[in-house]
Amino acid sequence: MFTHMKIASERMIFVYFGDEIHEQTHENIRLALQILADKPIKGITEILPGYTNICIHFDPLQIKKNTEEQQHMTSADIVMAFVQQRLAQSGATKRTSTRIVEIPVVYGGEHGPDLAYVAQKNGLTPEEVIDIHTAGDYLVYMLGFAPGFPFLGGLDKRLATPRRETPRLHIEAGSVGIAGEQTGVYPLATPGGWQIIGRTQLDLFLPHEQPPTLLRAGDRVKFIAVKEDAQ
Amino acid sequence: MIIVQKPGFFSTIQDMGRTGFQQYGVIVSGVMDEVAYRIGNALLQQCNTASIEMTVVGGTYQFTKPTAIVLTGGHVDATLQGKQISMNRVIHVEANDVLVCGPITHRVRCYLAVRGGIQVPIVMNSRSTYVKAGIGGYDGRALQKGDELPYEAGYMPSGKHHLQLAAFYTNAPIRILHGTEWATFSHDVQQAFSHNVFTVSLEADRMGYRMIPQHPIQIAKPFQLISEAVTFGTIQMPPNGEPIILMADRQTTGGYPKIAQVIAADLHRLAQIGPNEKVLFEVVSIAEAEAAYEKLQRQLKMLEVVLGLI
Repeated sequence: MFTHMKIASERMIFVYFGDEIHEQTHENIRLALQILADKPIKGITEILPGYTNICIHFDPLQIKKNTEEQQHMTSADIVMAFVQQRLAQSGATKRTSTRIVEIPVVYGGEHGPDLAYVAQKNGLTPEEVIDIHTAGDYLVYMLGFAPGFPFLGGLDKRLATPRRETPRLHIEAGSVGIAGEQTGVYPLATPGGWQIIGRTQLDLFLPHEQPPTLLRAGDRVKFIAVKEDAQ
Repeated sequence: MIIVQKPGFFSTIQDMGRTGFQQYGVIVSGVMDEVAYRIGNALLQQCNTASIEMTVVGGTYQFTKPTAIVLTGGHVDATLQGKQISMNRVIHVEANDVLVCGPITHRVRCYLAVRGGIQVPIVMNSRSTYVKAGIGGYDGRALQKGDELPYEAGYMPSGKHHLQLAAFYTNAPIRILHGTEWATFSHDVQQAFSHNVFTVSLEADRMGYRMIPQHPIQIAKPFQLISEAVTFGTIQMPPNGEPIILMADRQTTGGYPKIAQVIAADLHRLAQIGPNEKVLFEVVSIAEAEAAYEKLQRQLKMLEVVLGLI
């Protein structure tokens, strides 16, 4: 199921499921997360899904306390042996249902100052850019970079546009952008170099809710074009 | 309330951080120097209660209720009601007393622990300030003049002695592990990294330290990774050959290759090294890193237990 593992530190390992960003890799990661979450060992503090791997944080003191017969092994070795054993007996393959999250976006105008540039760069009209972007089905591979920021797969290559040569000093929260072959939504106002094509009013980071984000790894995102007053 | 009369250079409220939320892209934050923070709390016979982390310059704080405080970490010349007070020692505080912390003269971060802790609201299991997201701490930002920080009135007599903590802060090289991409770097880059002396640049804050090598490191064939998880102490090597060490406020993911990883037991020492200071690295094994971590944690636990019994 997994391809290899790496020790990142005395408190963290990676379990790899492939070398490339691929939906099948992501499926394996989801399944592995489910298996590992099922009967976790004490001392594992966080398990994070990535594009091609799972990152496991652990507390060596706790890991050692629970496995006294293995004092000659490092905690990283003990955790890797545990992962190997759990993923080998991956009998249970109950599929978790996929959430589809709709994100209403006002495209263009002051909310999407780079829409015209993205269109021109790709030989499209702004309307075509909106049609292609809203037709897409985007998979949330992982969250990172900023709280609630989704690393999305599935951007139509016809919309791929390089980052701005000069990053903007201020991008509004909710801005929807394109950078290379990636599309995403900024959860917080930040500086940034993405080509901004629109903006949503939805909050992606919800610090007082559990979980604290609109999106989660494994979700599917649909962008819906709306008029400004419709939001 | 603790009334902030002068906030110092960059003072934030921190505790052990916000663990469990990295899968949502929420950074861990928390104190840069866990050792100083834990000892400050241990002297006050408490565990993981929010403290003020002061950077480079302390600040001036007035207490409206009686309590007890401890200053730990980087050395600061401090006075309470005009009378000099020592570090690493419980100090009894009367209502309306004013604490003046000057520049941090030795190391760069000083912690002000308060009996019972600073009672700002808990956000996602932590009181740590996360400035970029504007959450935690006081209003999600660094302290400013006039801020009023809540705490409970408490009492503890001043301690007779102050702890000597020099043993936790030796000038030994910072111990590192080879990073997950170590083997991907050319032999030349590996050698240039291993036999170098680094200076902490002016770009050194709670997010990370950019390090300037004494002998430039040429990355002939730069490479990037698919973004993946990073952690406290991860040493990234960008194409310009100036490594970046990720600290407490690091982002959860990064795309630069990771040439090395600072061991957990040396993070507190690194956190107390400031701009223009030199850093030497020493490579150790995972087993050595783990043994060092276990030893440090045992020492801290022991101090917490012993100080709690006095």
